[in-house]
Amino acid sequence: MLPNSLTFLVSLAGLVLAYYLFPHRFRWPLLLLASYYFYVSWEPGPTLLLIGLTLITYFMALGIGKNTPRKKLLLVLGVLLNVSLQVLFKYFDFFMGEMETLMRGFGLTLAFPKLGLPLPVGLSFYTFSIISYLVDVYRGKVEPERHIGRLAVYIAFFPKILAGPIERAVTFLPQLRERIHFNPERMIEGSQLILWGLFKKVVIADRLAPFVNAAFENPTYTPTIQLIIASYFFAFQIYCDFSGYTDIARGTGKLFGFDIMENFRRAYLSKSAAEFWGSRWHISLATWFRDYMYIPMGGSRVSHPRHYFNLMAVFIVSGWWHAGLGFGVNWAFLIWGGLNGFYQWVSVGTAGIWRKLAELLPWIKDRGIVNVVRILLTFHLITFAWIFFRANSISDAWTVITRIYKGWNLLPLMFETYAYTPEFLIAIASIILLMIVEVLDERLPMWERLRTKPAFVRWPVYYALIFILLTLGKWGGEQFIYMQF
Amino acid sequence: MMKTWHRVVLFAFIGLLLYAAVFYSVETRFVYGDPQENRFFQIKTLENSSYDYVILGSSHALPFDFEDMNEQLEQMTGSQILNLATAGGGIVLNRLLFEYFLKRHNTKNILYVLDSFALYSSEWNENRLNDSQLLQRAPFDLALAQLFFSYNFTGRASLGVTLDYLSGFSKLNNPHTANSTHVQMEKWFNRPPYKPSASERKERIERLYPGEIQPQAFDKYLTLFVDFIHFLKSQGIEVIVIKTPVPQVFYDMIPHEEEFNQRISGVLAGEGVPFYNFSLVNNDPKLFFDTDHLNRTGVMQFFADYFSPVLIEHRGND
Repeated sequence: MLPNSLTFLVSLAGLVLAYYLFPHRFRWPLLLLASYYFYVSWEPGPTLLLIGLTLITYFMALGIGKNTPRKKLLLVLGVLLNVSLQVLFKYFDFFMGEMETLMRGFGLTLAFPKLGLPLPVGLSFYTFSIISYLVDVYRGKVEPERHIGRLAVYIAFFPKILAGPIERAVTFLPQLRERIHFNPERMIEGSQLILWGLFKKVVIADRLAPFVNAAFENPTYTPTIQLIIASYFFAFQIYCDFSGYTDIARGTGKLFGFDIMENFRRAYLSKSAAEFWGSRWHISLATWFRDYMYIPMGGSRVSHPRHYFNLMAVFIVSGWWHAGLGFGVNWAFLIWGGLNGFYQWVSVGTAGIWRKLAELLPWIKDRGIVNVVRILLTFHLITFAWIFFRANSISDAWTVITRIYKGWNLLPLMFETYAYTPEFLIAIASIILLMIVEVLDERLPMWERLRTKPAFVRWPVYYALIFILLTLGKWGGEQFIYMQF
Repeated sequence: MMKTWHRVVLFAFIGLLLYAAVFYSVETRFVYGDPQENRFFQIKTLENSSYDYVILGSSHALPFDFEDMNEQLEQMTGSQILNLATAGGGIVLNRLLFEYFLKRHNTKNILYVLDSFALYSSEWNENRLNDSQLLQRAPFDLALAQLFFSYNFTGRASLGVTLDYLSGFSKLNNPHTANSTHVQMEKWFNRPPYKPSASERKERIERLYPGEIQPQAFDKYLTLFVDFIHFLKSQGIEVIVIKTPVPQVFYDMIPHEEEFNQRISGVLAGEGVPFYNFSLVNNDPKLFFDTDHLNRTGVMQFFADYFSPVLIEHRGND
């Protein structure tokens, strides 16, 4: 059952109703059952892994919380277990295959053992949640949860289990203990988020997907114009797919009275790559890496070379974390991570120059046109890096880049002869609508703007969105890209 | 200040009114404006009330309805003929279409174009009803809704299909993208003799016969087929079953086809239903526009040499 399916939406309505009819003490079992049912509907097998991991985490956290000399050992074991699961499911077979290729280079034909294990959906997300919980217990930021049911809900809460956000126990567990009352305002907020998330997913992302898939399937034989369009479209596809999922997850959380953290803040309005990764894109993952890897490594409070090393290490690991089933596990993800790490280097390395320039020419600071140039430049840098993310291999990514580079001078002619199908025009129109909303949101979120308006202004907007979803949405059950990580 | 629940009710009420308006607009503009050879639409808008023959079956019977072929056949046989065959149509879909037809019309005979794949898999039966393409241009008709409901109770259609039909969701959702197989195939009907590659044939066979053939599935759909024959006889309708020509090379790739022929011949003989196996006549590869569908020349030759005589013979028995 996908969050962008009508079955999900109908089931959700029934579940919300049951939730508020149930007394407080029965709500966590209801949420847990719903979460496990949701997960089982995907993959029955890995549900046992999820339950087993929950039990282990429960006892480990209790052990760590006891402040005994063994608490560090328990933490290390807990982190290792979760990291090993990722290695086992995601990378083991890939590495074995690469070893075989390497050996063939030396003239040795060897067959290394492969596990052939299917990647449990959402594994990367819930293992990261578990690691953050164990570390936070170790650091004394959160008390170990003694109620196993509540801990299980934290790990498996169905709106976020497939693709995050990577929620922290420190903010989520207290909400589970709270007595939540039906609040119409919250219901409206939740519904608005779900509506907008669905729009991003089924109207924008899933409409862009066929253009992107067709081009990246075989870039050698795809016309250059289609490669250019696909590269831009992928930037919006992945943004709308992932932020759409997050909006649905946050909206669903609100229906049950929970606040799930914000994961995206109008990412393509970033004025620098540092801003993009620091505060606008996949915030829950970026802050996870910051809190559990970058800062423990010393962060920026170390020597310059070490600071640069820390930055690159985080992005390389993040790149590798993204390697998944969606577009295959391949080395292109390392290049994608490395490229984004390089952008951070440039940001850090040139920060002083920009500061001095701003002192010398104060009028350029926060000038509209300067900001637009910075936004466009950042968007293009990020879009360029996405090519490595989306391509099936490094050589495919290189083919896309070289073909676009070589065909650039023919661009006007290509645009003149391109077949502007209704599907293409709808895709462009929906991207324009998205960006208008994002720009407006930057000053005041769309829903807050609407809240102050009378019903005759608000309601047509809601109806328009609902009918766009009904008439233009692709309800064929397209999976979310990040579910496969 | 209006109470919250009053607002919710008002919002839903206005939403429903708007939905009805959009539904009406799609129904008039797309369903009636561009019906795309939809069989439900065809039945709903039929002018004649009675026919000599109704042709049922899957895509192999579609060319008999392309362009002017049905009129040609009517002239050759002096019969009123209605072709309701549908691409990928198994027993369940054909029966649904025919029962819908019977709500307002009647026929003396059914000419069923049988394919073995239609009896092997739910893919061409129950699952076929989930194809939104079928409902995209199906006009709203309470008689059809009622039929869908009755199919829910017998497990031949999911509730989702009925809800989809009643809500008109498939019609509202991306109505401009309707692309019926019938219309697609008709475009190729006159193309010069086409030589399909071995991989095209393999792909087609794998699509028609997905996975291993399950004897239980075959028994189930054979029982449904026999049940359909009993139903037709109870309505006083005669049934004739034929198999249409396919190229030899294609025929050889069909799994267990000889066994199927033997089994079906026996069953139909037991039911007193005439069965004509034309699989390996009129099957020069030049007579096909793709791997296994007759082109214009192929259809005309088949009509003249094999099909018309059968129709004339059985019409004479009336």
